Amino acid sequence: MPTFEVFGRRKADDPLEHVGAVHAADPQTALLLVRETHFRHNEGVDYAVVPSDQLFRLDDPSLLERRIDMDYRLQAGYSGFREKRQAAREAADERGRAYLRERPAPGRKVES
Amino acid sequence: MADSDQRTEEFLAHIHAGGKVEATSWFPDTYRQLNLKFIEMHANSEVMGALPEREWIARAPTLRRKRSLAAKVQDEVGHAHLIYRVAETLGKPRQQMYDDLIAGRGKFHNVFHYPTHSWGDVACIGFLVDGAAIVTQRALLDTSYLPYARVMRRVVAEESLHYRHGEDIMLALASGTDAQFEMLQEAVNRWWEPIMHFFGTDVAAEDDPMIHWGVKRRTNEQSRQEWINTYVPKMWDMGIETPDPALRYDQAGGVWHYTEPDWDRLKQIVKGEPTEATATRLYWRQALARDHEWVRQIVTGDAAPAVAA
Repeated sequence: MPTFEVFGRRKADDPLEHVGAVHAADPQTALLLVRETHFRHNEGVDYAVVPSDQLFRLDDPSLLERRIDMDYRLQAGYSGFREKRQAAREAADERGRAYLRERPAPGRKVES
Repeated sequence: MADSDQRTEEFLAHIHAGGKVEATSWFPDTYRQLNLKFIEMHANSEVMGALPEREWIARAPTLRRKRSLAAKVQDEVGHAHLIYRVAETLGKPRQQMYDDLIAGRGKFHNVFHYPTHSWGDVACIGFLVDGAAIVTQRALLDTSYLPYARVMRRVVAEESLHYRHGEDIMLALASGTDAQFEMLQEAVNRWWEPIMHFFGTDVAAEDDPMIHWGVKRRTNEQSRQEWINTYVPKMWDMGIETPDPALRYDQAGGVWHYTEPDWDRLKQIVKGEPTEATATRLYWRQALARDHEWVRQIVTGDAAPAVAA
């Protein structure tokens, strides 16, 4: 008997999450069974099944390794902003272009 | 037909209660068309937004900036692919949307009809224009059509990196030499009006069909106010002059006042004859599509490639 991988979502706008697998004769039976096996305690609002042999997993994790540094693709690649902003403020002062214009207090939401 | 009117009424009630819509849900044709038009325009804008920045990859001032800018352009094209796929679920084939775009029939945001003149433009596009897109895209996280909302999560996450890239360039120019600062200021002076235009006219929520049908959850004016509130103080702190003398924050009212943009000019940009920048970029898109058609066919398997004897 074939197996089916089970994917569910807890709330309507959640992504599908891999929650397990079932044995079933065909997809329609799998959909009926999954309600009993994986969704009997209100675990979600939607689910889907895929035949296990139709789910192609990454078999070579080294594919995800980076051999050169691409830190500009990560948050960690950008740092020192407090110092950079401070340097820009000081440069503005030196140019005589400091603008202490009226602005909302920090955290104050703008109405509209 | 009374039956489908009834269904539409129930659908609208669902939307107004904050309900969501899947690709497999029933929805009225109005909903389908409004979303398709909006999402197709978004995907087109991701493509046309990549092109002005792409123009500077070969001219970036450092290797790090070159790599970072190339990565950003890749991300934007990736966003276009993701968003075209969402639009496709609403009934228009992806290839047809792209063909319409490069033939000059597709709509895209006003800001991507403009030319670039200097590295200062790259700073402005990367920080200020992208900032405007982030404001509207964050608001779209709550859009009713779920395939669109899911793609927005990925897009917003990647945009947060673009924001850092943009701010880094902006700060480098602002705290650099006088020539660098002046280049940045000159670029800001040119980009101010397009950014103010980007958010659209001040349409009240009850008059905006996009809000009525659950595509947008915030008004144009709310988004514009949010952008001004976020980015104008940052510009001022860098010593950048905002080119609108009437721009000021009203403490009592809690709103920013500004000179009303020239809305005729916006209409001219998006509905008039293509700008020279747009015409040039679309020309190259067409030429490359023709020259690379043989590669596309191999990759998609659409047609057997001709093999030399």
